[in-house]
Amino acid sequence: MKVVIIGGEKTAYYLARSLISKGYRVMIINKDPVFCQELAKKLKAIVINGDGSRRYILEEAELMRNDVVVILTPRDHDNLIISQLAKNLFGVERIVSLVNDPENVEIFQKLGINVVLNLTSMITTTIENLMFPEEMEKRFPVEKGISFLTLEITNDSPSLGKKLKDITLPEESIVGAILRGGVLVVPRGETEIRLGDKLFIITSPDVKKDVVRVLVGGNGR
Amino acid sequence: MKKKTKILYVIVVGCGKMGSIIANYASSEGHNVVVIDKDEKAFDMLSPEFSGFTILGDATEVENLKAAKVDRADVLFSLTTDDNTNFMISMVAKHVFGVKRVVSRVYDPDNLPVFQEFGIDAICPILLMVESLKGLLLGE
Repeated sequence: MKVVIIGGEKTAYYLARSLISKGYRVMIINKDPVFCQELAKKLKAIVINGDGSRRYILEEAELMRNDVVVILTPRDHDNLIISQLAKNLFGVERIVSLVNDPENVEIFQKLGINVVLNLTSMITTTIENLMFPEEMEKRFPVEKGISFLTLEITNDSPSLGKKLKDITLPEESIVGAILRGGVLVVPRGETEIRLGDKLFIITSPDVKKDVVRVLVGGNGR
Repeated sequence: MKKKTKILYVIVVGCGKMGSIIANYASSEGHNVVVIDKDEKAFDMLSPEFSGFTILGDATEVENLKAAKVDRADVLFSLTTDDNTNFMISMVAKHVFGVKRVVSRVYDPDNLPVFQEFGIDAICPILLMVESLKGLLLGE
């Protein structure tokens, strides 16, 4: 198994450096010959200078089914064809692609590229999370129809002391796990919500505010 | 006398020599034509009789395809000078918006199978030329 990083400048370098230090076999494909030389000097990685959207370059890289392909070019149409080549010609299953235009995220997913990274929506989400109360530590921006929340139970939380079965959560949400003093508690109907509990919730983004309101109170800002 | 054909809704992406000739022809045949190009000057190639619409913008940005009402198109021709761009436009037209007939120009013969695999009608000018030259060699 190797990790093949196609395109991208600084990001490709930092990513390769970090993966190599973790012991992964890394290969880099980049169009820019000067950048390639620089990388070859700095990193213990195989560097191929060429256009990663060309089939013969991918053949040269000897892409294998169990490789991980990371696509980082700044052009979505290049990223799309690379991902399709990797997936359909070489049978690569694990493909991570940068999608530059947020409008294209859905398109990539429709075309079978499940792991897409979109900087714009990540930053947007981060900003939104900053504006939300601190209960919302994390929300993964990758999939559109689903949100993950982490809520911590405080003294003012309306759910404090109640059993899960007595709390009316919206249909489109579920408490997936509770972390109590660092120990996992699997939530059942009889489980009581205690002070300091960390609740991990899977919810539809539409009812997120209601979930927050019911469990920890406030207006769910 | 012209034979009667169904009036089609045709989108042409890339208004270069090839794109403009096809757009002019389709328009003269009475079809409804929309041409998309990111260079305004490209539209100068359309004939004065061209009766279709033009959209200035990059067709790899979905909003421009939406503006062209791509979901209603009968045929889309992707004729830009870049294979990867043509691939993305064709894929989006075919597999996101469900355009029945998507035809793309493909420069690199190596790319043909990729287009074909996804049901895109791919035309490779180089291969057409090669076929003609072969014919010439065979004395046809």
